[in-house]
Amino acid sequence: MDSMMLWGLILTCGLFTFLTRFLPLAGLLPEKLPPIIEQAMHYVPVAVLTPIIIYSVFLPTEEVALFNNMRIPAALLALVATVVTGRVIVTIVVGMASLWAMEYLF
Amino acid sequence: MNTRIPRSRTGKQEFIAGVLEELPLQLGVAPFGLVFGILGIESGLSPIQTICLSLILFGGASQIVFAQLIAATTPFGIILSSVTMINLRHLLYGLSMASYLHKLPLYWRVLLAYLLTDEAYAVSIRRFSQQPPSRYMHFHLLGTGLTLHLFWQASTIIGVLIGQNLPDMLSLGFVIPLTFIAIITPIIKRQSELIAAGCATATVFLTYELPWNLWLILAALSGIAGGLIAEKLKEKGRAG
Repeated sequence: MDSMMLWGLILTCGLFTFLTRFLPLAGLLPEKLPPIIEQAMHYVPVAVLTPIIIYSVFLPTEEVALFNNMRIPAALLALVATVVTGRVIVTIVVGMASLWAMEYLF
Repeated sequence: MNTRIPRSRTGKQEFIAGVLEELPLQLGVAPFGLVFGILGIESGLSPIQTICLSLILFGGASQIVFAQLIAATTPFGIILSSVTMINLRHLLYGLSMASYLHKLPLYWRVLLAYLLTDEAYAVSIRRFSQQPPSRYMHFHLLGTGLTLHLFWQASTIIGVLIGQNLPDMLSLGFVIPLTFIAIITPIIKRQSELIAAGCATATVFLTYELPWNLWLILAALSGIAGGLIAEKLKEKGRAG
C-alpha cells in the first residue's frame, strides 16, 4: 500500500469510526435499535478481542506454535492475575514479567 | 468522591470531577498507548502516520488491529470493515447517552462524540445515570474524554519516539494481548459469552491460513453468532 493510499485508509477509517460515535448523538438513529442488533453488539468486544488474544499468543510468527512458546504460560498466569485482582496494570506486569523470566530461564 | 453532591454543580466542578474520576484508569491506558506507538512504527507506519492514527481514530483496539493488518499487507476493504466492526460498540454508548446529550448544540455533540471512548463512557455514564442531573453535566464527559485523550496522545508520541531504537527481544507487543485479557475477562460472566469466546477461538485455528487476514472478521462473526445462538437456546429452554 503506497503512502497516499495509506493516508486515504487512515482518513476513511477515522470517518467511519467517528460516525459510530456521532450518529446516535445526531438523532439520526431510532432511540432503540432492533433487539437482535443490540444483542449481537453485546458480543462484539468478546468476539473481536478474543481472536486477537489467541492469534498473538498461539501464532506469534503467523504459524501455530504450541510447544516452546512461553507466551502461552505467561498469558495463563496473566489471566489468573486478572481473575484474582481485576486490575489492568497487574495483568500487564505479571504477564510481561513471566514472559521475560521464562524466556530467560528456558 | 462520596461526598454529597450539591443540587447543581457548575461546569467547572463537573469537568474537574470527570478529570479526577478518569485519572486512575490511565494506569492501564498509558502502557497501551506506549505499545501502540512502538507497534505502529514496527508495522511500517511512519511516525506521523502513527500519531495521526491516535488523533483521528482515537480507539485503542481498532488502532492495534489497523497496525497489525497493515503489517501483514491486507486489502483496504478488509481493514476498513475490521476497524468499523470493532468500533460498532460506540453506537450503544452513544444511544445510552443520547437522552442526556441530544439537546446540546451541534458543536458540543461533535466534540463529545469524538471523545467518546470505552473508558470515558464507563466513568461518565455512572455520573449521568446515578447522580442528580445538572445543566452542565456534559462537562463531566468533556473532563473524562479530554483526560483520556491527553494520556493517549502523549503515550503514543512517547512510544513512537522510543520505538525507533528498542530491541525486539523485549517482546513488548505482548502487552496487547495482556491488555485485552484484562478487558474481556471481567465481561465474560454468562455461559453465552464464554461460548462466543470459544467459537471465536476455534475459528482462528480453522481460518488463519486464509488470505487477506480473513481470520479476524470470520472469528468475530462466528463469536457473535455463537453467543446469540447460545442465548436464544437458553431462552427457549427457560420458556419450554
